[in-house]
Amino acid sequence: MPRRWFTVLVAAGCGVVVHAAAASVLAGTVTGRVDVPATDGRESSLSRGYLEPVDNAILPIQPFNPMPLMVVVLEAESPVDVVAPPQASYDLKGESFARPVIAVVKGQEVVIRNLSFMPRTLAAKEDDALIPKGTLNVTGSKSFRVAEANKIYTIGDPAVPHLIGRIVSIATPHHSLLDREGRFTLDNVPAGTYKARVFFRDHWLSPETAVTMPGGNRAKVEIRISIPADYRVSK
Amino acid sequence: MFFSKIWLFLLTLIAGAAITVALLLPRPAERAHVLGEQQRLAVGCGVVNILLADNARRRVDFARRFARAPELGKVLYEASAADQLDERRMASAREIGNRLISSAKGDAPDFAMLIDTRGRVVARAKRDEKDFGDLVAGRPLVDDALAGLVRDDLWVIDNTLYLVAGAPVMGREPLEYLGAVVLGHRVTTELTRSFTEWSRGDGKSQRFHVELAVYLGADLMASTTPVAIDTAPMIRAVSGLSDRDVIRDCQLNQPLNLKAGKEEYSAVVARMPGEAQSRQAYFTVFIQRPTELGVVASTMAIRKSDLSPSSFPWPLLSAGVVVALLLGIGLMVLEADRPLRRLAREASKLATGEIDRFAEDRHSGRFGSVARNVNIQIDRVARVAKSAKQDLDQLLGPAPQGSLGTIDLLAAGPSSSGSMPASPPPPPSEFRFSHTAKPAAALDLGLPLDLSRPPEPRGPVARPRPPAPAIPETPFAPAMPPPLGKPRVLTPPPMPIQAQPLRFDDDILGAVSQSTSSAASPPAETVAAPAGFFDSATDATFRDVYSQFVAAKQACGESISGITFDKFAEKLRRNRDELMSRTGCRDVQFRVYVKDGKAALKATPVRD
Repeated sequence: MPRRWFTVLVAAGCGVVVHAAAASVLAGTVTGRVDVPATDGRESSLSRGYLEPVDNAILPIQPFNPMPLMVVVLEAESPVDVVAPPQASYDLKGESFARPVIAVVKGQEVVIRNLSFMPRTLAAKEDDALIPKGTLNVTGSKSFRVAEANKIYTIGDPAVPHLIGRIVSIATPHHSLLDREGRFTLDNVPAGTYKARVFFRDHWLSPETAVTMPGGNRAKVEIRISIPADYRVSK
Repeated sequence: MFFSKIWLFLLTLIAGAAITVALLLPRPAERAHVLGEQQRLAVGCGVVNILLADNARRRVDFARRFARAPELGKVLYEASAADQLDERRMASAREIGNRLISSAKGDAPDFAMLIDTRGRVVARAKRDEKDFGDLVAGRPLVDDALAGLVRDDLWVIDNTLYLVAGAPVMGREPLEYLGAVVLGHRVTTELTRSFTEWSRGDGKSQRFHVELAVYLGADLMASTTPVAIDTAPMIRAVSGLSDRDVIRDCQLNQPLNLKAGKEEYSAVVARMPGEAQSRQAYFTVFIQRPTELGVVASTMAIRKSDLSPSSFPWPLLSAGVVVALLLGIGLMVLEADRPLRRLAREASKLATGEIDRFAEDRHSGRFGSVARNVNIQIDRVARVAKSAKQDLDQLLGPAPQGSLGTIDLLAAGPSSSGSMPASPPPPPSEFRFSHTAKPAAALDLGLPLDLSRPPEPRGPVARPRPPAPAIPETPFAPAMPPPLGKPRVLTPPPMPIQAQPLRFDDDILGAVSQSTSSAASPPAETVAAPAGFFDSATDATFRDVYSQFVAAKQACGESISGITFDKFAEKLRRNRDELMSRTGCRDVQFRVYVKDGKAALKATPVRD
């Protein structure tokens, strides 16, 4: 009897692996770029000293770059069961996190590592119980799990106003950060219809962009997402 | 006296107002003093803000010059291109940073931070020199410096407050951003003293001297004085400040009263901007709380210069005092002294007989009232005198001119001259203090002029009647004179009673008996002449009087024991002789009457 069950389990596992391999072979890649309208200068700083910031006399001021604050998410039109990836790292690398915004799949474990030279006391503004209490010492880490999708968590140290990181929870494993030019790549996207959404800093942008992944081996889809001019304003 | 009272009232009011003002003036002065101190604090606070801004400008300029160092651009360029920063690169960059700091003239920064375009710290100089590679992007100043802005900020590193300045590092060829530098100056005691140097003046005047202290919450960062003041009120005040522009705190904030041991201070707090604001960084400008001013303290605070004629209106005050004094004296003289002297003069004249009464119209106010009252009394006495005269006239008959009337009779006492001419009687409403008033004095003896009116009890001046001598009881047929009516009450005039050798009283026996001991015997020739005339009839007359007197006493229920005719006759005779010698009358008629329920005897001179 045990042998028989063991044979069944092995066969089922092999089936899953085969299915996954087949799906991987059938999945495609979505690449694209987020187009941001021309910015009208820099955002105002969180703080200022006794003087107003002044431009240097040699070079023009570098414009505000929103790309590090954006995340592109591809959501399937029809609900599907999502298996959360094993772990997501969110590194504190000094006076800021490595990325100001990350996306985390529902149920995924998040590990915050302190790679700076200062201990911090982190907390989530929206859920005080999300991050374990206590000081996050240098080289230490704290982990927690995001249980719900479509949530936005603001992580920070109350004593350090400029230290803010945001975690947006999603119900799809297809998400990507942007480089400084706004380019992104989403791998392993199964065939199907999707909608591409962009998260900026602390809110979702609209409109959504429809994406269709055709069936076939190593399909590639190129999309461009245009961001409205008032994207900085949360609606 | 009316105006004197008004003047006294006014002076009292002025004095009261002056005292009130003197007591109240220190309070507005103290408020003005406190307000002045508040303004002084606000000015001091504002000046510190200005100096902090000026200091920030100098630091930013220095950071800009610092960032232009060519070797700095090169090392940051290479670091920006590298994915990993190593220690060798850090050491090279740190050496550049230290060299640039050492070359700084004057106020060198306490640390320098060299940052590549990715926001990583390539190297630190002067502070945490071994730390590198961490991300400082995200700090507003670093983000702005990497973007090309030059600015200042306030950072808190390891619970130490730093004034920091950031500037971009730019490459010339090609022209691009290579990173940024951040320079920090620690807030020190020397720095705070440099911010209050202006208030110390030239060393002679400490008038505008203020102290400055910089805090991070309850932690003191730096102070110009070692005084440890209570931070709790300051933290509360800082927590209550909500204006976005912290520079306005100096104007919007109210001064606080702080304590440091036994000393009290007035302070004003102002938040400090930048990142440190979230750590409750603020500074306080404070001064020793001014002593409260009271009347004594205000008086003690008077300086010699305050009393100089140029600063105090001495002439005006002197003139006012002199005018008030003269006015008071004048009113006193006009309303008190002169009327009183006038009244006194008239009283003297009245006493000496120069005038008969006060001239009421010459006296006003209370003095006029006194004069009127005296005149009323004079009139009353005169009326009494007139009434007495009328009674005498009625009793004795009208006195012809030059004959002996009642008054003449009484005026012929031993104290007055019998040759004094007769004066006309005073009017009924008047009384004259002259010798003619002597009869009125005689009337004070209580002589019942109207026998039909028995005398009533007298006032305080009435003298007690001498007791009647004991007379042996003798059979006597009463022959009482018919009652003539009710006895009249004579109000005694307020005249001193002169010694009267002869007293006419209703009880002539008593009077005679009293006077017999002291009265001298009548002159022989005076007694002798009438003696022959009377000798034949006197005895019978005296007996008749004696029997009437005894009968009257018996009728009154009095004892007549001890009364003998010889004694009675002897007294009558003496009395008659004495009366005749004084008045020069021809005879004396004795009458018996009843007074106060007792028998009495009356002697009446007979002129013709």
